[in-house]
Amino acid sequence: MTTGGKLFAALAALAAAGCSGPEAPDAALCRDVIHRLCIAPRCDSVENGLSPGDDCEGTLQGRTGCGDDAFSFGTPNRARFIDCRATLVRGGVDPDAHPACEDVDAMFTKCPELTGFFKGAP
Amino acid sequence: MLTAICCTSFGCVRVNHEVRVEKGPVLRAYEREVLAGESGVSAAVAVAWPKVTLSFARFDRCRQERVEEVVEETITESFAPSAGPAFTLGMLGVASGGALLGFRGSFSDQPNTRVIDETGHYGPSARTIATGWSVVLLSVGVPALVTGVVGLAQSGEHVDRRKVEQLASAMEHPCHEAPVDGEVELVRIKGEGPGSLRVATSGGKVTFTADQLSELRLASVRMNGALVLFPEEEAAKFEAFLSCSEAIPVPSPAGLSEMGEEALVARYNSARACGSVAGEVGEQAAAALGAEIQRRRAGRPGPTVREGPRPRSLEDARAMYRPTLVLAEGSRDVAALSDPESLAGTAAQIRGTLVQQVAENILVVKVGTAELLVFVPPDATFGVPPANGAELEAIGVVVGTQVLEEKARPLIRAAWIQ
Repeated sequence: MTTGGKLFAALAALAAAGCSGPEAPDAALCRDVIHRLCIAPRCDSVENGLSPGDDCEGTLQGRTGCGDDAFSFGTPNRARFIDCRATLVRGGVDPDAHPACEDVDAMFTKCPELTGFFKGAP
Repeated sequence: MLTAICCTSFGCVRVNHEVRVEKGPVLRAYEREVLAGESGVSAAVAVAWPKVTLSFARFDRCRQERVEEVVEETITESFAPSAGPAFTLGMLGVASGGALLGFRGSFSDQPNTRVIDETGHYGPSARTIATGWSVVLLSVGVPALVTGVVGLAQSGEHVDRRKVEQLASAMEHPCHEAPVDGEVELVRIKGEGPGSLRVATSGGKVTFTADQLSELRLASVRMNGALVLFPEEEAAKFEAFLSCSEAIPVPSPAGLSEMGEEALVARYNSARACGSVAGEVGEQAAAALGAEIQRRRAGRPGPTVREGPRPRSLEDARAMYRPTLVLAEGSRDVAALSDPESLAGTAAQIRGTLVQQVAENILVVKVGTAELLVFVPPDATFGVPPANGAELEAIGVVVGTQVLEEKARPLIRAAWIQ
């Protein structure tokens, strides 16, 4: 890549990095993670660990309360949830891209409290 | 900001310059004389037989220069190779960035709720993305545009005209001539008589009589130690006077008849120059000497040559005489003919062209640029080439010098001619 090309790419990356919208609500954030976990084929850690059934997203939203737009994080809190989610989206933030099962396993290993969260534990 | 971009762009623009010089028509031409140094002494010769007057003049060397004034154009062509691409890129960047920025209001301001990034934020709105890209495009486009404009502004042709002088020709000649006095020294050739003749000039002139110069074998003329230069025409006159002074006065008839052949011919040759410097006296002297030579030749049947063996063919003659001289075109031996007396008695092989048959027994043969006389003995058993221009080969013996039709040439007695 030429010097001009590198400069252009750096400027583009800077512009992209500086460009983001407002904070997503807690409910939207929670539903985003549930959507990713439920994309077929579901990983073993989801299938066996959370037992979501056929209506995976509906089941998990029901258990967590994310289906309600007024939902807000308790335990784990928002910051912790975002930190745990970062492991899940390290392959990309495209909501329709199937996450790697290694990343799903890593998220549950890093954040074991999420298993209880998605099982509906208080 | 814009100032910084402009300053940076000026520094980035690489401008190539090509300079060429062209000369226009001649505006005017003039001549001038400049001193070239090296002064010297020259002499002019005036002959009033039997006297010669040398007039000496000091001179400088001047150079006559012809100078032409012409218009010289120094043309500087500047061009920035990167200006065009930079201008194009800049225009595209600024146009598209400006358009995005100008029409940013047309884009939705709603964030992209479909995507949530790693930090938990929604994706940027279309307006934010357009604004970001417009900044990027303008950041690239504006400097490129400025660079291109600067480069194009600096490209072009600049012509400087000035008037210059150029030397068209130069010729050196003596100048500032003025009479000069001093001690004139006529330097003799070494070993030729007593020492040099020294005389002081008066009014830049000195006069000699023919008697004073008659025995002089002159090597050079000097004034106050410096060599005196004789222009070609003056040198010819002085040489003629010196030559003539050796011939005049002509001895009495009795004295002439006592002179040796060689001395007579030498004196006659000296007298041939007298016509131009001694007028009638000189012509009479040459005529008297010439007449004595003719008288002597008329008194004998032909050149005095020794009888030699009688060959019967060219090969026979070559075997008998064993020639050591080869007189043919390109041969080095031809140069030795300038002094035939020193070659007297030497056998020679001749290859040349018959130029003329003088009387019955003298042939004029041309060998290269030299001419020689070939004496055919009256009792020769070989034939003579029938026509002028015929190539001939001969074996013979050098006899000496023979004056014929007022020309002294080497004489060779033929043993065989083919």
